[in-house]
Amino acid sequence: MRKAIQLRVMLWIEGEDEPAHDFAHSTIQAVREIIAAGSQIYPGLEVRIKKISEDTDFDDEDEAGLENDEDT
Amino acid sequence: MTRKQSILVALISIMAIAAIVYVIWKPEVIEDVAKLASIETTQTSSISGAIGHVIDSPPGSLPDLAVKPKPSMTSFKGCPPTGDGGDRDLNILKNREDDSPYFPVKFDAVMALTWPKEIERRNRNKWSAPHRAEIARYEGIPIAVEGYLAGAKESGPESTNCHGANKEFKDYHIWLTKHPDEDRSVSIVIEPTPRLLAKHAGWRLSAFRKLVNDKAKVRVSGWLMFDPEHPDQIGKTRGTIWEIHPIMGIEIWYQEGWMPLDEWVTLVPIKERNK
Repeated sequence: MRKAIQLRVMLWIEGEDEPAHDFAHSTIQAVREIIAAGSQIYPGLEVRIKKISEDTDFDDEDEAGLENDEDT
Repeated sequence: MTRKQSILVALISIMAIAAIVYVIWKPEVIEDVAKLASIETTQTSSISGAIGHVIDSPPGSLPDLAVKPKPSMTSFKGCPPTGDGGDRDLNILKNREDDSPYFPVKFDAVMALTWPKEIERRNRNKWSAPHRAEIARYEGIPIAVEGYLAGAKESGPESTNCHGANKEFKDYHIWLTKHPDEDRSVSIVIEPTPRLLAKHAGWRLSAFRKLVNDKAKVRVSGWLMFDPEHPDQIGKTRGTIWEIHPIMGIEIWYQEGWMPLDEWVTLVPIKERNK
């Protein structure tokens, strides 16, 4: 049978770059190329990128980052 | 007086009487008018006072400044004020370092500020001129607001700070509430930026968390700024998308007076976290 799945992937990318250079733009392009190159390993799977964008919703996380020192 | 004029005067009189009767019958109309009046601004032509200090007057409405200070444009450890991408005009506002006298304003004066729906999640260079003017009326006012801290955490890498991965490029996201024990769903986001953190040895995450735990009353000074990025978070992790960003000063109500955080941390023992 033909199957399909929509995956949401979260990546952390770190590297050297000039301070003012657009890191979001260059890393998004890099991820597109990495997926394109890697998908050749699985010719039976058709991989299509629907959306890649920077995650800026740091405050939209659970309360884990908000716990405070009760014993201070 | 002609017959036409007489009829007109009679009609106006009837309408005036009807309006008075309506207001007496429905007193909430007066309350609505009072509410509108409460978010009116105070006419102030210029800023006067000592740089870096809160103007000595009780908290009131937002001043209606004819001219506002232009944000400073400085680089920080190689990172330009425009950051490395995203909304570069917004980054300039977030990265300002200039100080000012600060107008004490009521917490509710900031919470009452509105914005056009059309500019949510949109970069400033795509705003229409009327929308730009609407936000510019309030944005960039140096204000001081009293409240309590509902939480504090270090943020992730952002375009504003050139996506710096090291601690020196991270800012803190802090939530200011009107009353103690309120959560961040009714808060104003206030942010000390890396540029300001570098200038204040006492502005450590552990110190902000101590203020949260102690339910300490604080007074935060900084620049009123509109951040269109997270409207979906209203009522969840924030109460408004107007922010005090960057914060330029923070004081704690201590022994019947306002004490700067840098001084307060030298008097109060604060446990540092290992992580």
